[in-house]
Amino acid sequence: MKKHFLLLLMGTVTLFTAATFLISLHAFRTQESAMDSMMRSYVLDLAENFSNTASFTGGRGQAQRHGTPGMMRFRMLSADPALQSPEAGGLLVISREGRIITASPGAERLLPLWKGTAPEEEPREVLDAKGDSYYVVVRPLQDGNFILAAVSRTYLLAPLAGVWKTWILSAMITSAAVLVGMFLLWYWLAVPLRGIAERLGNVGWGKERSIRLYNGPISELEALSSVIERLATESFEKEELKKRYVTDLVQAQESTRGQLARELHDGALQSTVAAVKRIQLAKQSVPSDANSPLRAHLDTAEEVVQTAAGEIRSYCETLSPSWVRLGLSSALEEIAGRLAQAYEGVETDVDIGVELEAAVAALPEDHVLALARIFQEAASNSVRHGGARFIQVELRKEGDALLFSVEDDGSGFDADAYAGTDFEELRTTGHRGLANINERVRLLRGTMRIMSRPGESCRIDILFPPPSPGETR
Amino acid sequence: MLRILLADDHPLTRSGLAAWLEAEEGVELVGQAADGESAWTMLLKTQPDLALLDIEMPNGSGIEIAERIMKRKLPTNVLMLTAYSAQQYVMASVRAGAKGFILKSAPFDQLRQAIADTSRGIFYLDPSVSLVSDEAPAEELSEREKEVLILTAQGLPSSETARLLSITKRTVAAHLTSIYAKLGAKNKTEAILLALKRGIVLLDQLRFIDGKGESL
Repeated sequence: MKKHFLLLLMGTVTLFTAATFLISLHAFRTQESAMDSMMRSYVLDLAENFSNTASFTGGRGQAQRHGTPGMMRFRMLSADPALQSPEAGGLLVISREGRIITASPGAERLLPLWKGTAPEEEPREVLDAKGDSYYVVVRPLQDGNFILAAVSRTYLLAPLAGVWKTWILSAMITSAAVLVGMFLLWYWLAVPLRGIAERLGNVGWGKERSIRLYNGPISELEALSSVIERLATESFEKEELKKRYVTDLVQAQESTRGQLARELHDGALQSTVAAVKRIQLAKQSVPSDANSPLRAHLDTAEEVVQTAAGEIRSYCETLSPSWVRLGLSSALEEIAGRLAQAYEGVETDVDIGVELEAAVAALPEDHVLALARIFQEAASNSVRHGGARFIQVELRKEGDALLFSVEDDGSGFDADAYAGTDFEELRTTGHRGLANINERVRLLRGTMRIMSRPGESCRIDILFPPPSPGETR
Repeated sequence: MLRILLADDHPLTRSGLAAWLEAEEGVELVGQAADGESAWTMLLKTQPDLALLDIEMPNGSGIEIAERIMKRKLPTNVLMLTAYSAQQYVMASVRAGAKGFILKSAPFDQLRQAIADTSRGIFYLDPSVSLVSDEAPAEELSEREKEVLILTAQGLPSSETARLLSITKRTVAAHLTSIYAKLGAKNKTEAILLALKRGIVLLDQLRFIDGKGESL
């Protein structure tokens, strides 16, 4: 209901206006017909009043003279508004031949309304030469003459008709203005508002840098949409910042781990190895068959230090695998080997094929590390979730870019369900694997495409720009 | 007298090893280097029978030196000496022409054995490099399987292996599966290392076809 408030308002106003207009029109018509019947009965009355008064018996010659009984009767009727002014109407006594026998003052000019036929029982509406409207009725008199009564509608009803015309006109103008107003409201406000609402409904907050919500003449809408547009841009920038922040974090983490691993390796590990060597040297000078406590101490010392060396080595491995320095091919083979060993208990071993285009295999260490981590994540996903038994990893040139793809023969998943999702959201919903892959893809400044359907295999394509010449090894 | 060159950037480890080598019978330590560049210079000058090379060194890794030795066809055998136990370090060393691979922390008895083996051209692999099925009895590989294993060991992708042997990629995969089963290996690298260790495949058969495989 709230949603259609504007529509409701406009509908109500429009309906009300239309109703007012129609009622006015109806009232006007009723008034018109009332006026009409009033005028008819008026003219009939006039004619009857004249003919009903004592029979006009005057001679034809006398009729036009003042003081005749006919004139007397005119005088009697002169209080009637229609006889007050020559324009308002008049009475004419006409002979069969159409001659005026007598007339109310100034009524002679009404003779053209006489049609020469008689009698006319029902009043009729006639226009005279000037275009004024008259109601006319003709009645026979006892002496064989006729009385013609005419009343001017134009003259008598002019003030009233003027009021009505103004009323109707103003009602029409008001209605038209309201309708035009409503249309403009609809066209300039309701339509753009609906457009804005619809667009806002599918705005990818943080995904679209700039959106255009409104482009029209209403400054309020312009202001509103520009605020929202700014919000969208800000949210995009914030999202970008967050992404960059995460990428920086991952990068910083990798480099710190790498550095730590190197330092551990070059420092602690080398020292422990040196200590092992010294203990082994010391053992050289103690006869091995002797059951001396010194020999036992040295054996224990060597064992302890060897264990320490092993632990440090595995810390280094966990922090940052040293074998990424051997290049992508070796790194992938190492991961493949480890995965195959890790899933050794599985009924059929995992077979991992590595195919690298020789020309593109020489990548800088951070690229190798990123691709290795992607592969590690993707391959372990394939085995764990997809039950894959064969995984193929490839790197080749694709136009100017490099294409890294990992494909398995597992049971797949509905990749379309994840299309367009924010990978950071995936992280919060427990899909850390894809989020981790996505972070490395971003480190490579690449794009990722996952092609999979339930029951079919899964393939992850990562397209990334080749390292700039300064970066290559 | 076996003439040996030792290269390791860590002074304490180097001096410990040097002390043992100097005391060892039948062995002559002809030089000690602390980085790749000086190791190479010394190697050219002294022409030793065996070079004990650390993998991670400043100014050129042990693997790079081994590759140069292979390229120049110098008579020096290489024994890699490293703190890393990852299988790929072994593979990288083997591809670079090293005859043996031993961890720095290995007891002197093993080092003695490694020196003896590698100087005679026999592949030596440190027992600590984890091979899951070292003791599994090995079945004989067919000639075709050996070919597949050797090409794979050279670092060729399976499509290339398939092309060279005029078979399909699927067949290559089938051969590899059979090879793993016969050797008791769990993956490609392990299969290669097991085959090398048992002499099914010889080191010389793994030399790179130039330009193929990964450059280091």
